[in-house]
Amino acid sequence: MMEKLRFRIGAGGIGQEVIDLTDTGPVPQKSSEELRELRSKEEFFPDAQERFENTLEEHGYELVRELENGYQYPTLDEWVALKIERGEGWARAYPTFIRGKETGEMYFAKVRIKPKERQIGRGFAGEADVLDNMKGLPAPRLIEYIPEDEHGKRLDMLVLEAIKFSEGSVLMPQEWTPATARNAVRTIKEMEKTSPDALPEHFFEEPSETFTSLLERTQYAQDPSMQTVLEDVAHQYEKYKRQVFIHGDMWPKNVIVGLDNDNPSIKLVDWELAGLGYKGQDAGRLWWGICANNQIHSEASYEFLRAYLEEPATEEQTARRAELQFGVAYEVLWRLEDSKIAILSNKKASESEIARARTELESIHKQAYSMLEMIKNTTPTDTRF
Amino acid sequence: MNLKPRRIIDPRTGKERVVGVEEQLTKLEKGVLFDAKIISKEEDGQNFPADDRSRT
Repeated sequence: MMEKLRFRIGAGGIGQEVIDLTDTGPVPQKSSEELRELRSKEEFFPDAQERFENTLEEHGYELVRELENGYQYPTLDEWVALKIERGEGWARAYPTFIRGKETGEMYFAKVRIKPKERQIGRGFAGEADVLDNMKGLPAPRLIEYIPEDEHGKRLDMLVLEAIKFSEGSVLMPQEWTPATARNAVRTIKEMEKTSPDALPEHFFEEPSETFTSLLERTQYAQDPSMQTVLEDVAHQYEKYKRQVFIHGDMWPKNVIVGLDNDNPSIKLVDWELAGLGYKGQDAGRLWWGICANNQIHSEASYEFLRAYLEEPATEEQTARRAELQFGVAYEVLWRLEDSKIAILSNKKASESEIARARTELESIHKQAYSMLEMIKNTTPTDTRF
Repeated sequence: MNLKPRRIIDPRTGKERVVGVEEQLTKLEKGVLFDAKIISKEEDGQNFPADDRSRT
């Protein structure tokens, strides 16, 4: 049996206690052999720890394990073991904190610990392109991007500004407030106006994935009525369809909200999917996330909807409605691609797996119908809340 | 993993609340240094449900 994982995570001010992820009860442990097998199955680089250390050394950084007040952060190998133990072997990156040897400043680093084929979107290189070229984005400051080398000695690493919880943080769906929702919509609308011209040429290639291709590929998970609804939404959107610069993965977990409760600042993280996309895509994904965990009729959800529909002219409001419907439909299709649902296309799936997928599917359909209904029946001046 | 939430002073509200391990991990994975003042380790308490689509 491998030695019990013991590490602490967190950071903070003077005199705070340690957050120890493993000191609170029995932790299911895997043997070294099982762990090695799972690491290999999930395609984690076997020598990632060593390559990470090389990358830090060559670029003048050091890993921050013992944070300023005695907190301890997991090493890369410990992190991979933790992810596997938690059933999250799909993780592609090791998020960690590092320090510049010369500056002494602490940064946040994302390290790719799987082959390039497993990265999402344009990967860290694409994220760096966006952050480097698109000035004024609501994003953490890019410190540098270090590509992996062809000899396999280094890892692909993105170094970014670290944000303190006492300055801003990711909110759970229950924590979203009307002010947060309104400012998030403002951010989306400002980003739409951002010219993508500064981006490298490959950002303008035709996307390999379209609404239609997604719709076709996920037919196994659609009932006929949902398919008709999705097709109608896409049809209505045709008139207003416009490509703009989007974040591409604007899920609540990628939104860092500042502490000013009346007018919270908004910063977005994880720009690997950013680039040209359709108006409404970011809004659809974010609103879906705000509505998750039974928050669909929350104040924040309604405020998000009202703020998104709010435009000076009626025709513009109609366009917003069509865009948001499209964004929700796109999100539905994207969710049907999830492995939990995709099991429905697997002829060897067990009855219990199929039953779980059907329950999940039902919940997606229910949320989609409710959201589309809300878009139809809500106006920017609605005073339900 | 059998992890327990912690009682902290939330810098957003200045009030005590319970923060689950999922929430702690979510923040760290997104580059947020978890610098909340910790009051105690909780035996039980509200834990935010895990989101299903984190793509780190």
